Amino acid sequence: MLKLSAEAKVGIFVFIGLILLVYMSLRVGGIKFGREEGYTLTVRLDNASGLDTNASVRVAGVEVGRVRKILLEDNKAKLVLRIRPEVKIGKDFTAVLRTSGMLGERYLELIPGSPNAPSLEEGGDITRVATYADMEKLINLLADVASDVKNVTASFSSVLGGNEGEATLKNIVKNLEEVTENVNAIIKENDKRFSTVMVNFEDFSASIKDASRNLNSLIVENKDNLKGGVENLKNASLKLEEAMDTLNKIAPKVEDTISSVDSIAKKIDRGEGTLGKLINDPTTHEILNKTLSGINNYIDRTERFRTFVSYRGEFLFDEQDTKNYLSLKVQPKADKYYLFEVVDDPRGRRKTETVTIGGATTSVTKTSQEFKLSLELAKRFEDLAIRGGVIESSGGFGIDYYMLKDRVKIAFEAFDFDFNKKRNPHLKIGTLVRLNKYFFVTAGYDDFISKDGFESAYLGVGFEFEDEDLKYLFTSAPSIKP
Amino acid sequence: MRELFERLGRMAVTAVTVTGNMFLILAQAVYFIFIPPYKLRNIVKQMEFVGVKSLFVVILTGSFTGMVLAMQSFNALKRFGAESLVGPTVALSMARELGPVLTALMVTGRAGSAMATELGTMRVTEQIDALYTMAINPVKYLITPRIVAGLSMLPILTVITDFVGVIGGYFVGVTLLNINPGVYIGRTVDFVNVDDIMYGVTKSFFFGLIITLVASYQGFYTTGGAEGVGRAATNAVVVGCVLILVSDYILTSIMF
Amino acid sequence: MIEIIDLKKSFNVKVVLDGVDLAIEDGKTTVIIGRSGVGKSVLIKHIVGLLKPDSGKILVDGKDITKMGEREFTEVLKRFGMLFQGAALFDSMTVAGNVGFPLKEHTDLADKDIRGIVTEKLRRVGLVGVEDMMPADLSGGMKKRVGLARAIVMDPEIVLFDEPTTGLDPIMSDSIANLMSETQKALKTTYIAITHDIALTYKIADMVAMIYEGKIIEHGAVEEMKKNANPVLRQFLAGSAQGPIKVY
Repeated sequence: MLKLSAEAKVGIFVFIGLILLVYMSLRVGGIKFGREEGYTLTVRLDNASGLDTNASVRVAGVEVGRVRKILLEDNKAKLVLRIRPEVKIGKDFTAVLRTSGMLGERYLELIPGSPNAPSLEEGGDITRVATYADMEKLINLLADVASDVKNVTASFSSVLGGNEGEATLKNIVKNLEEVTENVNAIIKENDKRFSTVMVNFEDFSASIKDASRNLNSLIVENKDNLKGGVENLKNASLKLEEAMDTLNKIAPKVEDTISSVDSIAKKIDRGEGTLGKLINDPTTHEILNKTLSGINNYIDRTERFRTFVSYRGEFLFDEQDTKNYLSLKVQPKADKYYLFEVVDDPRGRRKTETVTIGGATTSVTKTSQEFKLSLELAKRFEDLAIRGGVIESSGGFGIDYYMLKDRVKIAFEAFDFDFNKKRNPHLKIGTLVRLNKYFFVTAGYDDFISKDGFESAYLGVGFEFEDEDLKYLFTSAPSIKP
Repeated sequence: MRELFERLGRMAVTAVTVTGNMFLILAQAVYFIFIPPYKLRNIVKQMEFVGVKSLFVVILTGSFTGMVLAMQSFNALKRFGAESLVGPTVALSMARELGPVLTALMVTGRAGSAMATELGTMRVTEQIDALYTMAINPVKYLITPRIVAGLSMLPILTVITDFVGVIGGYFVGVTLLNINPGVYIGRTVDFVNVDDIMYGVTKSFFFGLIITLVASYQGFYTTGGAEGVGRAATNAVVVGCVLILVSDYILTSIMF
Repeated sequence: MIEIIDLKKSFNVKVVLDGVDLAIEDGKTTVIIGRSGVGKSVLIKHIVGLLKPDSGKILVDGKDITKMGEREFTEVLKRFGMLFQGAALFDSMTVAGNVGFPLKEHTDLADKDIRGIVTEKLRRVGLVGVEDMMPADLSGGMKKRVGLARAIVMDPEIVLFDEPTTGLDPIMSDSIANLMSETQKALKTTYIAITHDIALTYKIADMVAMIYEGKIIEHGAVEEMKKNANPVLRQFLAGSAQGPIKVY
């Protein structure tokens, strides 16, 4: 068997452990690596009970995103949703809180509206909300119904149950019997009278027959008079015909009027004429929309825009001196920030210079006492941040890993690369632990592969605060561009 | 009566002294983590001892715990018709609680006692004194690598325990109890968060520190020859296990 | 030059050292004798800083080591070598690892060079070809020799011996005694040994100091001590149960 060194075994072991950790994190966290993709929507519900952050958002039962935040706003639950980028949510979608299964979790179902409705953009709001007879309500309702039914049956049983009830029932049956007997008696008694009524009725119908015969003879006698009447009617109808003719002559004119109204409407519709243009021009709509969303964006951006000012002093054990950092962090978005830093390093700034002494050219590393400046751009992917730019007055990059809800940061940075290989790059690894909102401590190892004896462990303290005033300085020139 | 009070007083003084000494050792050991030169070989050797060599016992414990959990929770959940929740139950228990604690207890039993024995033997045979007279700080040379090994290896062992526990639960749940495999995994993924795993891993950092610190302390301050070495080993396990369980409670109440 | 001035040390209520005064000359072998349990080991542990005195001073070249900070004292320690009673070899390392350990820790020598020095020192203590053996495979006498090799590997100015012959048979004891005097004469090192082995004392000592009831009662060259009339010293050197030293 292959004989492995202790180092190799530990290496393999650590590797397996990390792979398992990453694998499990990916599985349970959904497939997402790095910064979360997609866009954000909000929705306001009257009641979000039972809904947790990270609950799924589904369309037709398919998960399309997650609930990222649940806030209370104007006594309503405001949900911030993160929707996958390829999924389009229309403006007329309806949000419904649902429960999967009897014991299952709560999730938010989005029910599609018409297929032609425009889609919501980043930061959009789902305005349609429906309350469904969810499990809870259904159970409550069932309980009510059950109690009603119970009440009814209870009163029945109190009426019918027991000896008293039985007696009452017997009475009722007895009474019924009596009633039918009486009805029978009445019918028998009146049998004769019914017969006479029937005979009278027959007489009456015979008289009507006579009356109709008389009417007939009456009509025959007045035949001529009737003829004259009909003639008059004919005349009247002729006149009516003339009137109709005139009407017919007017009708095309009316038609013209109607069609010109129609054409005006059509013209407006087609965007002809000033009014039509105003109404029909798609840009009008767009401009309006943009203006609104621009205002929204500006407000949003100001809200999201954060600036932090911090100072930290790190005591270098080997140097027996303190390295000071004064920094300004400008964070226009949660996942992105610019860092501007002034660094006072007791070891000074290093430069490799080529010096020619007596014909021989040598490289000399010089240090000079001056402040060093850093200007970095950082981008954050979940718990990992990558930054780069100018670090301590030289090109470099850094990687930060955040843990325990950002309370602990492990940072690695490399800078001051010397491509002549006269000196090693400046590497620094350390950790930062936040004690509270303002104060933190740092520890680590600075410049640990230095060839010039600059390596040193350090221990530091510092503070950071968020500056509200600076933020407006940076956002005071808004543009309408979305 | 007086004797009782005297004994209680002595016990209190001992307890305070032991705690104080332990923190002093911890402070020194942690201080030396940042002070070069680094004896990487020593650290790697301890990592191998604490981590790699505990792998077998940890895998065994983890997988059987997962299997038992699946079986037990199946019996209970069946009554509610919620067999699908076996997966989450196993995974959550493993990740949040059983993974870190069982790993820590097993490592205490295996590595903690061995560590105390080794250091105790070094103490009674004057090897620690010899280090000192050779101008080598014994805390830096002996204890710092052990604590670093504990801090770095316990989280990894815990992750492995979590994983084999879930695999064990899956095996029992799906092949023996006939839970639909898709449902088993789906529910597990639904209910378990990355945070759950990270909480367990965070706990295991502390456990790694406790195990190695207690064992190092007991071994380092061994007195009384071979018998003392035996006592140190026993104490390392007993005190280690008790501290793990107590601190588990404290950490749980802080974190959740 | 090591000077011990009015050194006092008690463990709980038991007074072990009650004002020890002793000056140890450079380049000679000083043997401190006394009965078991009178504080010889305690005294030697004070010299290397394993124990801190209750009061008193220990001067090494005029500087008080009991007042030194850790860094300064570490430098002093590098001038010392010590052979422990049970040799105190590290079980986890080979013989070569043990002997070369101080070199590996304190110097930048390459492994190959260290190996060369180790072989040379081992040869000096009379061991050849044991480099790759583990301490557990060695006999008591061999362990002592390896321990001696380790103690002198850094070419120290002062070597301390804690009971160098305890647990060895008389022949092995004699062989160790020869080795000690040979190496001492070759390197002109200051040797300080504590023992109750009279034969060893006569064999290696230039100077002898007797510790009794927490104090140094006699101190002088070995020839003078042989003629000394102090009844306590006489009884001890004679190895007799009769005399002023009480046997419990």
